[in-house]
Amino acid sequence: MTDRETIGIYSARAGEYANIKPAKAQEDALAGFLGAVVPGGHILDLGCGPGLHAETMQTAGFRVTAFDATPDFVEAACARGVDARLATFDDLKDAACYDGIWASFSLLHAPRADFPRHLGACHRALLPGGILFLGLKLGTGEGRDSLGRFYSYYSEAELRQALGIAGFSAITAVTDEAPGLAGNVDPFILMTARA
Amino acid sequence: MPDLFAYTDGACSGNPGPGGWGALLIAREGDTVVKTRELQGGEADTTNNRMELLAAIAALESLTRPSALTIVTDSAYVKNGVTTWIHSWKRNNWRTAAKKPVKNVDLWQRIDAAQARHDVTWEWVKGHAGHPENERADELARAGMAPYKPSKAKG
Repeated sequence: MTDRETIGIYSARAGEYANIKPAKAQEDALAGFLGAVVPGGHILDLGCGPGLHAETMQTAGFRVTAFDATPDFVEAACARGVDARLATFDDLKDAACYDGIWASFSLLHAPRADFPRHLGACHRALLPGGILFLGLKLGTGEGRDSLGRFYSYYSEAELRQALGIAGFSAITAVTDEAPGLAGNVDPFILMTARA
Repeated sequence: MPDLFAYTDGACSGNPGPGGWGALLIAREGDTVVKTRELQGGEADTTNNRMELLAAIAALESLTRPSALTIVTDSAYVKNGVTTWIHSWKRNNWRTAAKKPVKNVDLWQRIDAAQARHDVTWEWVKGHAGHPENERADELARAGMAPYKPSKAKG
């Protein structure tokens, strides 16, 4: 299921969103992720937004395929020279295809009930030993933020369990907090796991 | 009139690094292949997406007469760029809706000019998924890249 309202908000504020500087912890996480993925490997940026991270990955020598469900973001990513396509989490049907999947604050827009299925699709899409990165907001339940974007919130324990069930191992987690597009300072978690 | 197809692919080692492009042109009467032509080339320092663009450009520029053809690419970047985003980029003087410059603008402008002479249908296929023509275009791209790959270490 794709949330039209969330996509509408991102479309309306795509330019503004592209100018938000990622938190230091996210930049560190990207560097760590790129250090863990096979050099020059193929990365799927699942929910690429305007393509800032995908561009960094390409500059670092990785081959990048990018998905986003917001057309304005796909355009912005293509304009950055990123192979981005309009696609939802349910369009991830590849098997043993990627060395890494970067899902940075994207899967939190999927309903909690769909999360195990999406993690399963990520596990299937990764090559054995491939690395999954997840950035999510910490909390409980589901709801809309002050802008109207749909969010699912998770606890670290829930995430560790869900990753384990999906077949991932070597799970690491960093938690921090930073302001987002809505201006709230929310606690978040950055995780990596191995397929 | 036979139907004309161009299967295009790019390859890159390093990204940026040495890269190549390949295009397999096929004229078909029904299911019968009446003519094929293969093109390839490469550069010393390029990216995968530039080679994907150049493969399609080379196919278009190789046609001396205005033609109707279908270009089959495994690059969503090329297919979506040329069928969707290029129109607004052009209108915005090669800037995005958010007023940012468009990367690889030299090749987007060249593909825009190259396709203007022809009647092009763009098709996307999944790469490395057992399409024989796409596999052949991939081989051509790799062959195009070969002369630009650093020679094996000399002791």
